Amino acid sequence: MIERAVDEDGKLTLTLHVNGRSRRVKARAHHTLLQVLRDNLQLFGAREGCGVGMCGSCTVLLDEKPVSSCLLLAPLAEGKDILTIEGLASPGGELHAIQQAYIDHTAFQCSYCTPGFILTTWALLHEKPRATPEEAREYLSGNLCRCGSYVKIMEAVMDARDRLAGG
Amino acid sequence: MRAIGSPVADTRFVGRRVPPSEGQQRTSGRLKFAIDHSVPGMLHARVLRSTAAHARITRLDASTAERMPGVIGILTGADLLRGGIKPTYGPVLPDRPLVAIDKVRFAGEPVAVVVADDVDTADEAVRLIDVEYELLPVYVDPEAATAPGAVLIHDTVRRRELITYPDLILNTDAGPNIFNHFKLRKGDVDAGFRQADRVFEHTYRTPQQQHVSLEPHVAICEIRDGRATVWSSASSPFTARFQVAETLRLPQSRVRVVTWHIGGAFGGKTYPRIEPLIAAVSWRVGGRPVRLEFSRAEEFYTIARHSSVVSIRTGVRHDGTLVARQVRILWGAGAYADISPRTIKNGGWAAIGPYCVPNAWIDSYAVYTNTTPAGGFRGYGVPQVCWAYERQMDEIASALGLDPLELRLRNVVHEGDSFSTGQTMRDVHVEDLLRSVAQRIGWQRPLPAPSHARAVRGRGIATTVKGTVTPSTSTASIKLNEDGSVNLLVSTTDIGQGSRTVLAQIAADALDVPLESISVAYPDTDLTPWDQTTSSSRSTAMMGGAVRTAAESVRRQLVEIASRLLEVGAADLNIENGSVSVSGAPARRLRYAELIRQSRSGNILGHGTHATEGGLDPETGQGIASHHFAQSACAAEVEVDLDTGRVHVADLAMAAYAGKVVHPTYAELQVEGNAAFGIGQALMEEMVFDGGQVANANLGEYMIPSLLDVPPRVEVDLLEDRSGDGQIHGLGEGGAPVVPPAIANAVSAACGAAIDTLPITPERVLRAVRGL
Repeated sequence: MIERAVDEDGKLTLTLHVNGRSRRVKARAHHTLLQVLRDNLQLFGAREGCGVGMCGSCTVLLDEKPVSSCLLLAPLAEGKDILTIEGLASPGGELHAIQQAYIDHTAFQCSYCTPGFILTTWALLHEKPRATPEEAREYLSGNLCRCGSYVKIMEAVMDARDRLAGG
Repeated sequence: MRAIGSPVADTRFVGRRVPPSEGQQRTSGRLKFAIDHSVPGMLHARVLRSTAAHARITRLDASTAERMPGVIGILTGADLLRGGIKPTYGPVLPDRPLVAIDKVRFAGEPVAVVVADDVDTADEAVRLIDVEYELLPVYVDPEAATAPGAVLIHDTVRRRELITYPDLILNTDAGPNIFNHFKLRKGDVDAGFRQADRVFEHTYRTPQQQHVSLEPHVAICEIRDGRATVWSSASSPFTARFQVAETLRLPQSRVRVVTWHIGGAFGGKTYPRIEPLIAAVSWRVGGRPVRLEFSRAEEFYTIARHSSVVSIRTGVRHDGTLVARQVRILWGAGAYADISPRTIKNGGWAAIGPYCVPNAWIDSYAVYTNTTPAGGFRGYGVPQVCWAYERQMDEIASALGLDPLELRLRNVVHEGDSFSTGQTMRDVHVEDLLRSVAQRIGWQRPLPAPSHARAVRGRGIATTVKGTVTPSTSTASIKLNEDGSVNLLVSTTDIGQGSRTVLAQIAADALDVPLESISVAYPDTDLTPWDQTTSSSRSTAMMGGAVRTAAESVRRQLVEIASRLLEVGAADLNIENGSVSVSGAPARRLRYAELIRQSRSGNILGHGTHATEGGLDPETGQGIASHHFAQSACAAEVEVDLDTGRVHVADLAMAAYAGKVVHPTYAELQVEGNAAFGIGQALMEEMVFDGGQVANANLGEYMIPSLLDVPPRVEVDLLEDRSGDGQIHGLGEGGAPVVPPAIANAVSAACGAAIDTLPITPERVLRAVRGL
């Protein structure tokens, strides 16, 4: 355990590596990564849905693994590579094949859960480039879409798999 | 999709799978929701909620919390009695205090609201407020609340000063805590039962359920210079404006409600709950901007679906013909009326189902209970009654030795039949939908072998018709700009139904311009014109109609201008491809931009109103229930594990009558979404109350369907009328009510378990199978 200095507001100074950039933020020790992303960095793509790690709307990639940013204390994310949905497109703004597949299949309704689904899809296809539909359903079952766009989400995921394999 | 009628002239955008609006923003995390909004100098509010489900407040001491550094102010019941704002609110009856005044009526009711510099401080201060309660009897179940001698949860039921719902029957002598009665009387129900060979009586129950919109309720309010602005997750900005204006005693012109994308609503954000509260909180701190966001747990204390107890008695001939039906429904409305009077009306007349029943008698009662207030919820009263009548249809079929599909086909309404409300049915296709799902599930085929020896398989079917709010009104404005581009001004919110895409398609076709030239405004009550609600599956049908009317006005003006400039009679002018041209001389044409510039009109404004007529007699429930009907059917194949009681939905076929499909993908998404939603209601979802406390106010214990709970393939059949006069039928809700009874009927067919209560949990299945 390393002791850290806090300012008069009770805040720590943290250094987080977000979407390829090093960011310094001030946050209290109990603030979650989700709070820091939204409140300090104005990255609104990760969204709270349940606050207890059940819905996946706040998913970000931590060293290429999907995590619920609502459950991760921000200080524990120091030294890790954090990728949010805002960092998935190419630096020139070209959408990732997974994002394009979600658009092409209209794999969303209200779209609140969409960033979480896309990042979990990225992790799935990174781990298992030849994922079967059964594997994909299992892998994505920690992301909830209340609008129930699941049929089209699965179409987008399988299409993205094929596009990435082909490219 | 299947079509009836012969196709009419092609449209450029309507009926096509155009790209969804804001595709890039949706997939890049840049789609704007109210939860992302902030304003400079904003303060933060947190709510102290009641720990008692029914109690008198004997002491409330906020003095320690008030002295905490960073606390700006605390709103309590005492503030409401100082005058300045209206202390109570509610869309139908003003029975709900903004915060509890002397009594709390459900666990989780707001008792005080702390405003502080930051959320952490507000959270800490909430814990320093001291409240003492003197407990009163708690009624969770509407049967207990209406039992003789039950204590009244509200001493009186009052109408609001501005009567918005004149047809309400408020008080009855049917029992304590009943605050509204919807009646339907058709034919002679006693004579009907005398004609019956068999009479069936059953009681079916459904629990309170929660919408679980992934975006919670969130709002910011600022009051400045006699004007209030509310930035909100409201799905219907004008119901929010009405309420905030009433609360702050301001004319509606001085209240501005602004919305963006809505992260799911399902009926839970149609009427205001957070908006009047945050308006009162801002008022309490001198109008400074204050933000309030509910946690997931708080959502379970904000709004729910009505619990129900449906007692249904049906008289039948030996051949299966229905001759009489009497239904008594107790709706657990929770602690405040909210929109209950409308929900229990819609669920009331729907209790006969899509069947010809010449003699009907319905008593639908809204009951105050000590639970979270209930309101609109996808299906609006229909899921509860559809659960009852479609479960009973299978009981009747089984007793008469008839095939459940055959029993339904012998009784369903057809073109020209008289509905429960006496309305003559038009454009009904229920038989076709039933046959469609039966065929696709393989109704007549032998069942496949179950996956193991202790499992059984079965199939079930269900159908319904659901009305849309009638009468109702939507309005739209179109601004055709000097460069020929178009601002479409509508107050329909995009709650996931794709309204921003489909309304742009309709506008682009009606004006004959490219889809890209249409920019759809975000609802802002200062700028976008009035709309009743984004609810009741009405966005595409009603607002689509208003958009078309607004476009006609623009077209008329364009022709008038062109007639003047080209010196050609209006009858000789055509509108095509963004220009007005002379018949027979297509070279003589002026583009819209050119017309505006040459005529110096600046821009062209068109406005359109789309209103429907109808309504029911309050004493008999007879009249026009709905302008048109959402019609749907579902067939399910399930496997039941006899050791664990677990129900697995192996296959699901859905069918809906769409009238005219504007965007096939979004239409499919509505039906597929209804299927997933219905599976949750069928198998998983129930707010569990323990002594009046919600025992599972989180998504760990209140489960909603994931990818593993929905069959890999949901077969969707959208039936369309392409004959030209086919009108758009809403698809937002019709599919949800049919899923739970179809699944339960399949469970019953598989293992003989006559399930009468939702959800169909493994415990309920095992109890039914083992006769416990």
